[in-house]
Amino acid sequence: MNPFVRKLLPVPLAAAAAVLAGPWAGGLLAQFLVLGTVTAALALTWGIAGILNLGHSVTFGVGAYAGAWFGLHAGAYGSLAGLGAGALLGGVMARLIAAVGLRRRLDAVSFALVTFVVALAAEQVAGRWTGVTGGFNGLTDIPRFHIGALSFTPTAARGVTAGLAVLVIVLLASLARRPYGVALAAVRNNERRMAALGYDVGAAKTGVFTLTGVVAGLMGAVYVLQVQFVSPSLIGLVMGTNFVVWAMLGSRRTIWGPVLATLVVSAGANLLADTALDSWLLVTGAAFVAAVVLVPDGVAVVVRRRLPARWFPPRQVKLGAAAPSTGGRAGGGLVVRSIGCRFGPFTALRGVDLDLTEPGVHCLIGPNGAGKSTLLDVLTGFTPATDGAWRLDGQDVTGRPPWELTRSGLGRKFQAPSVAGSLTLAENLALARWGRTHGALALVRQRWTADLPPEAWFVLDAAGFADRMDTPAGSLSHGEQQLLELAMTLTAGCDVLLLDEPTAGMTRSETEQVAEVLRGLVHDHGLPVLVVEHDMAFIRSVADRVTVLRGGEVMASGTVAEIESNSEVSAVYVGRAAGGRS
Amino acid sequence: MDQTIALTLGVLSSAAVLALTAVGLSLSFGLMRIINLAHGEFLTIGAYGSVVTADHGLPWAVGLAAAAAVGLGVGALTEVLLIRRLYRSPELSILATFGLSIVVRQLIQLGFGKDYRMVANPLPGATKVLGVPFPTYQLLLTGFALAIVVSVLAVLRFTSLGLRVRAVAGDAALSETLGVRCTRVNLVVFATSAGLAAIAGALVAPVTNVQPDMGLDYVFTAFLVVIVAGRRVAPVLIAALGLAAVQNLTTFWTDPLLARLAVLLLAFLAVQVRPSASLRVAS
Amino acid sequence: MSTIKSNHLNKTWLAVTAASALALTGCATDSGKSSAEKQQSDSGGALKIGLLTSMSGPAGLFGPATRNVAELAAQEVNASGGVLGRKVSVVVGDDATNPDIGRQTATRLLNSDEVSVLVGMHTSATREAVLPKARSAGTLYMYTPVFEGGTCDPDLFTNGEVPSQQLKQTIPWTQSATGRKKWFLLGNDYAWGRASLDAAKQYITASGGEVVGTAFVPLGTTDFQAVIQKIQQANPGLLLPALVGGDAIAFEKQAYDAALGNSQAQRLGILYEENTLAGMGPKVTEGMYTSLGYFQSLNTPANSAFLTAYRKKFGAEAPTVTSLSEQTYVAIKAWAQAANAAGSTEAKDVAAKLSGLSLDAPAGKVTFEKNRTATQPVYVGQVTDGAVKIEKTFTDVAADSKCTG
Repeated sequence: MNPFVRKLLPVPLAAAAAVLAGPWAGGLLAQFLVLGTVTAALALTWGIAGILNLGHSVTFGVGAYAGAWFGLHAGAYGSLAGLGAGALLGGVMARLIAAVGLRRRLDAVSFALVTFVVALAAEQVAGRWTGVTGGFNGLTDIPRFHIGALSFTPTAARGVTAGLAVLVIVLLASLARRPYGVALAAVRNNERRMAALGYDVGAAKTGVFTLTGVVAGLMGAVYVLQVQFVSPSLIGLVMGTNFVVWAMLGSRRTIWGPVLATLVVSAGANLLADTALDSWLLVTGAAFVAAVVLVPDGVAVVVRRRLPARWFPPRQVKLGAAAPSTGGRAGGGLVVRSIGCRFGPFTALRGVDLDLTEPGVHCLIGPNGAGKSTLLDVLTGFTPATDGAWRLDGQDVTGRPPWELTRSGLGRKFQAPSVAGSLTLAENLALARWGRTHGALALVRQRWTADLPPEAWFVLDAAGFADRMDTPAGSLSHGEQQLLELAMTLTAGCDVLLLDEPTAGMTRSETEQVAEVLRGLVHDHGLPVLVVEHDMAFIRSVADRVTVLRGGEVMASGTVAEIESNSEVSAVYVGRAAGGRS
Repeated sequence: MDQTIALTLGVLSSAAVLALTAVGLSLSFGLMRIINLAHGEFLTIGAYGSVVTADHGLPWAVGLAAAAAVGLGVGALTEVLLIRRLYRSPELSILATFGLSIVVRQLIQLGFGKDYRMVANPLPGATKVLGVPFPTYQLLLTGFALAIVVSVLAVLRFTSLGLRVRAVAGDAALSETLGVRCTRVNLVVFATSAGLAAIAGALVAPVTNVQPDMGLDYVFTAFLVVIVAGRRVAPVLIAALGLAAVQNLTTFWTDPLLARLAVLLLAFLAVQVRPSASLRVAS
Repeated sequence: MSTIKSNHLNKTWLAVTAASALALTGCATDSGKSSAEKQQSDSGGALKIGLLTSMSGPAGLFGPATRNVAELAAQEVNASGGVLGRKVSVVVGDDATNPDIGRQTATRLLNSDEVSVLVGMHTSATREAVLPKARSAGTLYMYTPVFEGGTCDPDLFTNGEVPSQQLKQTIPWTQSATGRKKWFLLGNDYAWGRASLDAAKQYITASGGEVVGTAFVPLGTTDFQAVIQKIQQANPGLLLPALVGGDAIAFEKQAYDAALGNSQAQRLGILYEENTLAGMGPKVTEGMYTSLGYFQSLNTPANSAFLTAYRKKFGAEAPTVTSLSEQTYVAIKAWAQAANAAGSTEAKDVAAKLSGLSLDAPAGKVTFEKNRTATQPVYVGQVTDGAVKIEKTFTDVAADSKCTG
């Protein structure tokens, strides 16, 4: 069967169902499908990208009011203008909310509270601004969809509304399955790692938030053209909570689950509420509570687990080989000059100089609290430096955000492996590649292919991953995950590699494998590598140069032999740790 | 001059009610990261506690104690049956407490009906403050609010229980390894939070309408206080004072509706100026 | 289409085409039924009266009594022969005090339950949302509670008290009864509150009074400290609160404590019905005036009979009947009479007979006018020991309406 046709089949089916079900049931179906679309959009921002939005109703309501106002005042082309204005204002509203919360990197719960306030305020404004919104009583008798003299009959209107709603749902579902959706999910799982892979996390979140605002705004206008009425209850917190509840019940990680939950709960409320007036709310409330405790992932995910696995074939990712970077490593590497970092009265780093200009392994050691990880955080843009400057390949990159540094060629691997366990090795690698090369639009268009640079293939071959590319990364051992993560860091394309304790938690043989890989990267691929390590045996086996950090300052720097013979260093550090792990 | 005193007293007593209703919410949100949408219903439970005792002719103080006890009990029960299972996801707690709020409202409605209930003012009349008469009961509310917030802060800061609570709030896993029983600490915090909501309900009952939905009206403003105050308990007083000042003075000099918008704007600005969390996420 | 290769013309395409065709043919015909068809299609069964009211949400307090009186009215209509020789039954729908849900519920009552008349006791916002649905279903819509007035629609009858009825004569009467003329107007910020206070302002000025201040508070306000201080600063002798339910109670309790009780500023409530007054308590309400079209304490034979029947059917503990619910009873009784007179339940036939119809309601003589409002008595009660004592009766008070009929 043509997959394109199969995907679009629900659209005419929904339209036909809405038409054939008659004015009452069909009208409700169309209306609930529109609400389902809005819930699906929330699932994309919240379930996939991890941004909880209690004020999703605000963008929906703004679109609804825009649709109503233009429908009533803009004459022959009022419906079209309303749809356009709904989408536009929904997007603008979402962009503004995002500017307040997301750009300032509020955590999820604080951001949710911001959206809570916005929803409260929106309801107040809608109830007050009588000239535009009709105030408390809202606007009624909004004309059905029309273009010029051509106007839909009620039957046609509900068919088109239902079809359009399902079309939007299909598009949202497709978006979630594409690299774009997977990248958003990865951002939700680990923002820091995605930033280190070259993704502009803030822009990605703002982008998806704005996109779902556009969808909600558009569907708000569609809703109003269908139901011909708008009031502040559509824009307020109650509606906002409804969307969250529906998304949660249906499985917020999916797109269709929330849609079905919207349909079932709304239809239930419409058909059953009045036959059991006194107990309906009690029963639904108790059902919500039970659902949260018993099926926290939502019903759709539970149902899906019971369906045959062959219905959900794994994605096939084609990995190719990218040409070696043309510039070579002649860029000049990383030059760090007098970096300082203070947290209030506490000085974490002071006057740190570091040169990673030649291929070679440079180890950074020092007692706990010496500032090793802070230095890595500063260099990769996760912690702001209060002093100093650093240049990458001759370019001043001081103070740039993490994704820009990654895109400039600075690769960083975190201490704890943070691969996305539910994705396959190949998907993880593809994600790592696209951060540097793909904008949001490219992620939407991109098929599942990615060309990896030679140094990444070198690590993958060394780890023996070539024939395991389609297994979930979660099934790898701890050491293997470290190697995969290293390959991903290299996949992002780096000229200088920073590694935070690459051998932590590894067995002896895994440690030796890492040492082997590092030597290969240095000798065959000409990479300068900075390694934060405690393991002296490992350091001896790989280090070309060692820098000792103590109390945030460079205490000594030199070859392994020089450092080991430095009495001052051995007094505070090496003496204790010599021959083993600290 | 008299007007200044009267306005100041008005702001203080408005702030007192805000702080009373918000301090419990701030405990569960600040220390446990639980957004408790059923907080308003715990408040309603407290108000009905004082209704029941008043109906039996018991003194007002007994009503307060009964409300506190019922609140603690319901809070503890909620923690054990529900909240405990949801620590891994603050988002889940939002939905669970949302469902719980509906259930509690409906149960109250089944038990007590939808009618407005009356709780008589235990301290009618006015007391002169600096020559300006002010409702005695509102003065009492102000005192109570101050006392409750201060004692919560004192417990957090000066007792071993407070130390354990702060430890769990800071790093639950680490505290567990140091021998703090997180489950028990969280139980205490949540039950206290519910108990404080119930006390607030019993305290406001004489000056408001008591009916099953009353909690909704209070929980919104309580959330605003918590949003302004952030994650710590101490700023609740300042936030309540700030919001009350903005609300009352805008109302007095202009319009109650502008006041409502001004309060929302203040909440909005508070989120803006508060130091933002960095990109650092526990990895 | 011709560009599609033959191997694509498989079963899926057939399905898509068929579905699209169905969708298009469906567009050509609308399967809605008119009221006349409804009547024919299920003659024999009972006629349904759709009651849309608030059983939950902020106005949920008023739903149960309304449902009860509707059932009582239906029982009485059936006892006297029903409508068009058929029994009537009440189908209740809850709007949850939310217009969007109200519209959905009304659509169900109209299109699925196929009710013969829609009786509504809910907010104006829900009415605005429901009206187009009732109109397109060709069903008569009777809106019963106190409201702001100003509607004019061929399919809509309103019999609730409007500001002109509650205030036009009441305001001058209050001024002469108290000898005070300085008013403060306090309202909830929504259509009813605003329209009521606009009307009040007009009548106060016309009768030589003075408005010394006006304030609107959002619905759901709990803290009235600053509003009370604002009123005290204006120092009015008379206070007209257009507040609903919980807000009214919170305001009056706090005002009483802050020495702004009824003895300082005489109240003239326009939605201070029995439930709300009970919530304030007898001390706070002592002496207040309240102006409505019905009070339980009316001492008329019609009212005693009504209340006796109500308590007999639902018990002594049944929800309190107030003006809000009594008007629903009146509407159903009036509709049954008009439908019988018209020999039809078609909206326009019933509407024609309803115009000019008078009946002896529990509140007194109520006449449905050509302008689709109800001329009715208006009472000013004074609260004494928590009970409403009728101080003044205005009979046959007509509602101002832009509608000429």
